Amino acid sequence: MFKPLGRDAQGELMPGTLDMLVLKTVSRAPLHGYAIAESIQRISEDALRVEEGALYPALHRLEVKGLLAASWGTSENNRRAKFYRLTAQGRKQLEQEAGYWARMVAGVARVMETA
Amino acid sequence: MGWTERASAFRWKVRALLSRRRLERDLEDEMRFHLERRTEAYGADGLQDADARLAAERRFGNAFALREECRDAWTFPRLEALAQDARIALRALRQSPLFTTVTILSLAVGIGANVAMFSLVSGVLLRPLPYPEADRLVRLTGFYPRGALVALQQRSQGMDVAGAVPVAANLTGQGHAERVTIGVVSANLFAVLGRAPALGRGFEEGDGVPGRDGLVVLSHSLWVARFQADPAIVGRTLTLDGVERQVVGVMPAGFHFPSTSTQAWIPLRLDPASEAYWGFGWMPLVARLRPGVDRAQAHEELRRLVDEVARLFPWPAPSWNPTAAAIPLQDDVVRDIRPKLLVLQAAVGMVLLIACANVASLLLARATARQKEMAVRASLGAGRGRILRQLLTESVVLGVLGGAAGLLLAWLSLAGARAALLDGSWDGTPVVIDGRALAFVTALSLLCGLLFGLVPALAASRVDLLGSLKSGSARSASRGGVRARAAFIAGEVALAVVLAVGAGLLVRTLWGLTQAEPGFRAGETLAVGAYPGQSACEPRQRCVALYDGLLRRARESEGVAEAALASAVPLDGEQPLLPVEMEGHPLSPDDATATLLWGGAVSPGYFDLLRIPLLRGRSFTAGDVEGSEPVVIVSAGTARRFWPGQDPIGKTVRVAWEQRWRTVVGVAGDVRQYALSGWTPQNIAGAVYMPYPQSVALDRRIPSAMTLLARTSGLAPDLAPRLRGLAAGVSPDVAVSEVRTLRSLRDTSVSEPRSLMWTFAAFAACALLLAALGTYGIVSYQLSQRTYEIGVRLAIGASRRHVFGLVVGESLRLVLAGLVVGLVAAVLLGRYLSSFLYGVSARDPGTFAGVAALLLLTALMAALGPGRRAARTDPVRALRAD
Repeated sequence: MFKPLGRDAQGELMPGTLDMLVLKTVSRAPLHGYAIAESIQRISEDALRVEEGALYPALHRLEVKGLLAASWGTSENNRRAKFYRLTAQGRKQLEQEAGYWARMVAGVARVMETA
Repeated sequence: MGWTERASAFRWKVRALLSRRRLERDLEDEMRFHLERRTEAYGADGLQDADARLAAERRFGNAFALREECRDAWTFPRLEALAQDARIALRALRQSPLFTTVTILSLAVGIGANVAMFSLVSGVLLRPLPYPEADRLVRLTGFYPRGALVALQQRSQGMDVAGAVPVAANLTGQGHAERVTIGVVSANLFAVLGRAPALGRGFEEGDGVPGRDGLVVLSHSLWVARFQADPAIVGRTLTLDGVERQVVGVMPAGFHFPSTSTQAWIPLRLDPASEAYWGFGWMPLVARLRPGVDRAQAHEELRRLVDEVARLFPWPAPSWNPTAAAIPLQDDVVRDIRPKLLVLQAAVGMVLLIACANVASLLLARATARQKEMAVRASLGAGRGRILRQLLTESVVLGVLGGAAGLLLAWLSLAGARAALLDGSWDGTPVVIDGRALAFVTALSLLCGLLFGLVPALAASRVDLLGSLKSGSARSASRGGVRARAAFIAGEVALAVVLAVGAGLLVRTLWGLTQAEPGFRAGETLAVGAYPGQSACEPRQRCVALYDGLLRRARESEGVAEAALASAVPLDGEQPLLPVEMEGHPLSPDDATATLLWGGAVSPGYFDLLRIPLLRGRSFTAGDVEGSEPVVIVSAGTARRFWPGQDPIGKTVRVAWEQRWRTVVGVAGDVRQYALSGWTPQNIAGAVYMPYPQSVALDRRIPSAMTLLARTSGLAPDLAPRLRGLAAGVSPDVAVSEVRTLRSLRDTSVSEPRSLMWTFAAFAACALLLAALGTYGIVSYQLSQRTYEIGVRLAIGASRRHVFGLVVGESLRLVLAGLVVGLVAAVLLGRYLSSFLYGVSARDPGTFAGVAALLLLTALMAALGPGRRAARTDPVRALRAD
C-alpha cells in the first residue's frame, strides 16, 4: 500500500505519500482541510507544494477506511468547517508507515554515503 | 488494504447509500470553505478580489474532477457502473416489447421447468437419508434367513449388520382393530441406523430370545394417534396379532424403517431350534461400515462371508446368494424413482437448451439489426470491450428477468409435479424450492445470459464501421449471421423432435396399457380387505369358518350378484410368494432357490367372478376342504413352462417345506397379477391357486388376511358401507380396509406411466411451442431484412404467390434440417426410454412419422404469417425505403 516518497514523471506527489503526510499532520490535533494543506506546506517549506484540491479525495478515502474520523465544528474565524482527527486505527497505520519510512530513508542514506 | 480497513470501508459505504445527498452538500461546503480561506489569504497578500479568487481556484485544481474522485471513495464504483449498464439495458429492452416478452417467456419456461425438476431431483435423489453419516450405510442385497443374519453379525469385521422385514399385523385392544405395518427387526437395527428412541429404550441383545421377545417399540406417529402421546406409555402393553407385547420405547418423529409406513417394531425371533431359522426368508439387510472401511472393502468381505455362511446351512446351499452385493442404502431407497427422474431431468434440460437457442437466435437477429447503432457508438469512441459489455449486460438482464419469471413458474408448477411424480413411492417429505434450487436457478440464469449473449455479442461487436454506416439499412444480413441463426433453429427443432418423439412413444404406451387385456374382467366389482389377525386362525379351522360365514352373508346381501374370497387381488401390489417343487423338476436341497410362484388362496367362485377362463379341468368347489384330496389350479403359462406338450391335469405340485403333493385339477387363463404391462418379478416363474381351506402362505400358516370380492348387480350406492360393515361384523378384532373398486385398482396401476407421460408431454409441448416461436421470430426477422430484395423481385415481375412460396419454402428448409437431425437423435436416444415403454417399439415408425408431420405443420403455421406479409409487400414503398 505504502509507496515511497517521491515524485512521478509529472513531478506530482505520489498518492501514498500524501496519505502518510495527512495522517502525521492531524496526529497532533484535529484540523480542517485548509489547515492541513497549510500545515503540510509550512512544515515542508513548500517543497511538497501540490494541487491543493488533491487533499480532499485523500481525506475522504482515509475517512472511509476508518483511519480518520470527521466532524463539523467551528473554525478559528467562526465559520463552519469539517475537522479531521486520527482514529486508533489511523494511529496504528501511521506508526507502521513511519517505521517503514524511517528504515527506507536510512537505507537510502547509507547507499548515498557509501556510493 | 487490510481486512479491518476493508470491512470499515464497506460499512461506511453501505451507510453512505442513505445519506448521499448530505455527503454531496458537505463536500461542497468543505471545498467552498477552503477556496474562501485561500482567496482571503491571497487578498491579504494584496491581490484584487477577482484575481485572488482565480489564483485560489488555480491552486485548488479541477474541483469538478476532484469531487468525482471523492465520490468514488464513498461508493462502489464498479458495482455502480454495472447498475448503470443494467439501467441502460432495461431501457433498451423496454423499447422492443415483443422481443423482450418472447425472450423472457422462453427463458421462464425453460428455467421454470428446470427448477421444478431440479427441486424434485435434489429433494428425492440428492437428499441424504435422515440418519447420521448416512453415506456409511449400505444395503446388502440377496436373501438371508435369520441364521445367516446372525452368522454375518458374528463374523463381519468391517460392518455392523442389521435386518428388518416389514409385515402387516392387527393392532387390537385399544378400541377398533387396526391394520398396521410393523418392522420385525434385529436388536441392533436402531444402533446401526444411528437413531435412539425418544422415549424409553430400543431393543437389546437377547430381546430376540423366544419367551423374552414380547416387546414393541412404537413409532412417534402411532404413539400420538393411538395413545394420545401418553408420556407414561413405556411399560404398558398392547396386542399385535393376538400377542401381548410390552412397550419399551418410542422412536423420534419421522423415523420409519424399513418402509415409510412402518408404525412399530418388534424384535426378530432368533430360535436356532426353529425350522424358520435357516428356512426360506426374505429379509433386507442394512449395515453400517465401521471406521476405516470403505464400501468396496465391505463388498469384498460380504462376498467372502456369503461363501463361508453358505456352509453353515443345515443342508447344502452352494448357490445361496450368488449376486449378494453391498450397495449404498441411498441408491437402494431411490432405486425405483431414479430412472424416471433422470429421464425427465434430461428432457427438461433439452427444453432449456431450446429456450437458450431461441433467445440466442433472437439476440443475434437483434444485434444484426442494431449494427448501425453499434457502428455509431464505435465511431464515437466506444471500445469493443465497452460494446461487448453492454450487449452482455443486456443478455444477463434478460437471463435474470427470465430466471425470476421462471422461479415463479416453478413455484406454481411444483405442487402439481410433486403430486404427479412422487405418488406412492415417496414418504411425503416436503419437496420445496430450497437454497440449492435457488443457487441453481441463479447460476442457470446467469449462465444462460452469458452463454446465449456471448455469440451474438461477439458477432455484433466486430463492427465493420465503414460498411455499416455506408449501406443505409442492411439489405441483406451478413452471411455468418444467417448461418448461425439457421444452426440455432435447426438445433432447437432437432431437440423438439427428440422430445416430441419421446412424448409420442409414452402416449402410445399409456394407450396400450389402457387397452391391455389383463386376463380378468374387473366389471363392477368391490373389494374389501378383512384382517382378523393371525391368532384368529389358530387352529386354522377357525379362520375357515370365519370366512365361510362372511362369504355366505355377502352372497345373501342385496345387490351382490357374486362373491368370492382371495388372499391377493390382481394389480393391487401384493405378491403372495410361494416356494414350490413342480413335478418333474426336482428341487435342489437348498430351498432358498426353490421355484417361486404367485400362490393365491381363493374360494370357489373366484375364477367365475373375475371372468378368468378355466381352460382345462375343473374349478374349486365347496367339496375341496381341509381333509379332502389336496388340489391346485395352475395358470396356463405355468403349465406350458413346466410341462410343455403334456397334460397338466393330474400333475403334482409340492410346497417346498411340505411332504404332501397337491394334484393339479384345473388350468386357468393367465392373469397379469403385478402390472397391466404384464411385467412380472424376475424370480417368479408362474402362478398357482389353492382352495382356501387347504391353502398355505409364506409364513407356513393359512392366510389370515383375505379380500372379499363382490360383483354388484345394478346400482347399490350403500353397498360399499354395507360390505364394510359385514366384514367388521365378523369380530371386533377384525381390521377392515377401505372398500375399493377393481377398476380403481386398475387405474392406480397405470398412474406411474400416466404421470410420466403427462410430464413428458408437457415438456414436449413447451419444446414445440418454443421451436415454433423461434422459427416464427427468425423468419419474420429475416423477412424484414429482405423487404428491398422482395420489392425488386415483385417489381421485375415475380408473382405474389411465388414470393409467398419462396418465404414459406425457405423456412420449411430451415426446419427440415433440424427434423432430420432430430429423428436420427431420437432413434439413438430411444433406448433410454425403452424401459418405460409398453406395446410400442422405441423406433415406432408411426410415432416418428406423426412427429415429423406435426413438426412440419408447426413450421408451416409459423411461416404462414410472414409469408403472407411478404406477398403483400408494396414494391414501390419497399424500393423507396432507403
